[in-house]
Amino acid sequence: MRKELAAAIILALLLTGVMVNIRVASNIILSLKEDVTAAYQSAEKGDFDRAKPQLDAAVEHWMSLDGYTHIFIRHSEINSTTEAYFQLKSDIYAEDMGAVEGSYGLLMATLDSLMTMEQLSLGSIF
Amino acid sequence: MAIIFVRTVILYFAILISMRIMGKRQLGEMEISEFIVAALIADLAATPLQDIGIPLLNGLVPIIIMFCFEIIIAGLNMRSVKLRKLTYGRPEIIIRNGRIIREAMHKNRFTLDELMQELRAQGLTDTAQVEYAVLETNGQLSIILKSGNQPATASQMGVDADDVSYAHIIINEGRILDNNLKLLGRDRRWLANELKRQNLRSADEVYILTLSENGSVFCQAKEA
Repeated sequence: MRKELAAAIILALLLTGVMVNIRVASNIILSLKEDVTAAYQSAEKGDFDRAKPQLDAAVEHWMSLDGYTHIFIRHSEINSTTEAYFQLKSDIYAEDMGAVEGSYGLLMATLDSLMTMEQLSLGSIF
Repeated sequence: MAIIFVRTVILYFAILISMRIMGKRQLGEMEISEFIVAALIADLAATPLQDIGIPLLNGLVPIIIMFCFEIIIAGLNMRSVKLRKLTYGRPEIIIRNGRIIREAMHKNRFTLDELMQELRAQGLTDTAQVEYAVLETNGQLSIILKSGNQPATASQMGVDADDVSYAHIIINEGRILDNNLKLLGRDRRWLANELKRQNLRSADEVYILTLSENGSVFCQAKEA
């Protein structure tokens, strides 16, 4: 009986951990999206001098999450997100608003997909 | 490469501990659910080993989950006959009084060739010799011979046979197992005398020495 109880406790702990991780991942992605959106909005207003340090801080924020992301997210997803960050950075530094629109959309979609992968839904399960 | 090394060590011990806790049956006669777990665990462990881009947790978490479910289901099966029937199925009589039961054979997708192969493996060539053949839940065929075909026992023949006595290993390749000595109420002094009786100077010269509960000693020296 002790073995079964221990196994049930481990399962319950794992389930709790999974639920906590969904919450943590959602909060992280939301704050990352806020950082990027702030830089995009500055660029949209033509204020690239403000957009550049804002995006640098956003990239810094993403990089600082390395310890978490490498444990929970596939490395291929991490690489494509990092690439999307640097694509947006390159477009903002080039002050090319047309390109910024595209790379901003790509980065937001990549961040959304990271969140969707952790969410419990029929789509993500099947 | 260092990552693969560390991951392999972690996964090796995770699987080893899982299989050890799940029990010895995992290694031999596995039930269906146990076979599924064993096969899946091996596959799950291989994925993060082959691709270091996949987090180790993706392999470890499913192994832990399956291990926990296996422990819980095995525990519940011990307590509930109904659940046991549901998860492991029921033993099925394939031969009764020498006659093959076709219905049971079809139900279990057991062919005549397979049945004859199983019988031959147990030294039988004729189903008429068999009283019962039962297909167990782990896929093994248990055969009970008709009384006339069963080997005669010592009591049937009126012969007095010595009781079987369990032999404990006392020296294993030169190493003295004190726990076994103590279990049988002997000590090192007794062992020293026994070695002298066997013309051996020390335990180092012994390959194996066993002592049965009825006091008989078997000793084989290491080859020179």
